Amino acid sequence: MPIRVIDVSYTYQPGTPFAATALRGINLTIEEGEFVGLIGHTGSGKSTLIQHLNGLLVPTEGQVLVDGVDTRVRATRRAIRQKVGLVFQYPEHQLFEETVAKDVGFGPRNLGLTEEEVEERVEEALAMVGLDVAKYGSRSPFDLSGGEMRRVAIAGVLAMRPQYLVLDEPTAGLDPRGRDEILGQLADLHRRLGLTVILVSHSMEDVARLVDRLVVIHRGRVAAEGKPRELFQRAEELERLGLGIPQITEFMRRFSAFYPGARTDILTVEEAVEEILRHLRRRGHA
Amino acid sequence: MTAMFQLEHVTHRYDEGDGRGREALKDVSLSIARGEFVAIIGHNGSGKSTLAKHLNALLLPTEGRVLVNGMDTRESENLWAIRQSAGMVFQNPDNQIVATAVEEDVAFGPENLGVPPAEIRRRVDEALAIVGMSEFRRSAPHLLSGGQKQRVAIAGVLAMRPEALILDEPTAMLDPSGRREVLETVVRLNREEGITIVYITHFMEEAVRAGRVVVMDGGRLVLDGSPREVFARVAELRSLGLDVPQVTELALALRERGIDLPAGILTAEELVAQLCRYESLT
Repeated sequence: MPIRVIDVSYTYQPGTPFAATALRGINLTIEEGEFVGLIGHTGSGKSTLIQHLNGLLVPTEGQVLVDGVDTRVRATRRAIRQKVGLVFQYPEHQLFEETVAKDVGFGPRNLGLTEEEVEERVEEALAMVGLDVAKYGSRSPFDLSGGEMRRVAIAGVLAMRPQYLVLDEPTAGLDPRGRDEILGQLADLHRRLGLTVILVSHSMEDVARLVDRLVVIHRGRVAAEGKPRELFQRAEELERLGLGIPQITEFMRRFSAFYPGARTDILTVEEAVEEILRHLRRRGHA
Repeated sequence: MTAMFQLEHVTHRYDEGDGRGREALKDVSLSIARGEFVAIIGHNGSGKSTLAKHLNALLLPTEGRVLVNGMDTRESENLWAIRQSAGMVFQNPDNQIVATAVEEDVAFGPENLGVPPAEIRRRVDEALAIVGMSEFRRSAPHLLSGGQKQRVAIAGVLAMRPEALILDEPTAMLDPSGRREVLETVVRLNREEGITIVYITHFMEEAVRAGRVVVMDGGRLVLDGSPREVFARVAELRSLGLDVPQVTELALALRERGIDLPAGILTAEELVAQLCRYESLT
């Protein structure tokens, strides 16, 4: 079952002088098992939109259906929050327990699970983010590196066994290795467990190699949508929307100006290597 | 001529309350000349931010000494002069803006220095013009984009007339256009205003724009050279948890496949030119 966002508008502080409309008639369907990237400049409405996906915000107009259930119905909100796990920006700021195991187990414990079940979920969730419970479980989350802290925070959400995982810039402020670790694990969760992932990102390089579909939010509307390979062909349009294209795609555009016929719908370094070699070979140089 | 920043055998130990402490900087010596643009890269926890905070006396060395414009940061009477000559810009623009209008925010620093009102006016106008934010001078900061807020934060520091600007991951929270705006502003400040820049970043393609790249690991300075020299050492950077720009990675991958290209290619223009040259020679 999908998440369906139907004609959703949202206004902060409606009816006051501070009223600010953040979403204007959004329509969007996220199918189960998809890996969707949400991009858009700061203030475009991305964060407001993702808070609608698990009922943290409810639409001023329109409706959001999670597996057919309307998020406006109070009685089902708890179930929806469990089904749709939301990882905020800088989630490590929300770590608070004395040990990693306690922190990750906090949600499941609140569900009223037995200690045994809680332990099982903690171990499973930590493994999903590449952390061994035997090594990390009893450590203080505050003694970990920035990347590890963030993975613990993500594990806290995964321990609720969500069907949908929504992440708001999970790699902001991380070094390249920390970035690669988290993104690799997300790809793995999606591939191996079929988890539906919705990723908000400012990195065109990251979304290019990860997601099935990109949705561009601009001024509270869906401004464009498509597969990364197709969407990143629209460089000028994306730049106007405050975004850009991956460095490697940009390079291939330049390359194709000198090597007519070279493909520009290239998303990774590996693809670029093959395409360049193909051209050099064709001209008898490699 | 006196260096803008001179670190001599600097060690910094954070007090962890266990009597031992953690060494975030270990015997770092580094000299940054006036007018340089230095990027500092390193993984999280490598000591970059600790180093940056030593450059305007937000932190003091446990051992060794730091001279800013020849002034020792350990001498408390130098503090004001040091902070004025080396301004700092942080990651989160929302934490750095204090006033309800852009121009008031930029005026905050010089007001605190006791600068006369007419002079404040001049400095605010000038600082906003330099970062390209004059038309927003009466806007409310919270209505600006991330990149615009960060440029206002930079203007606030410029209004203090610093000789150097230290930026600690100023683009980490920004979208692609915000990142471009801030980086271009910094490049311009260095080239046109001659301001010394120390720029900490996790984005390798930003570090390429500096004149010099310093790599930190485990509290030590492990590499120091031009972007071309540093980014040619791909294996070493990767072992430090870092990366190289995608174009550099592509050039390396092509070399491994038998295309004879020089090491340390940094930009798309360079790579295309080198490929054309390669073709003309084979």
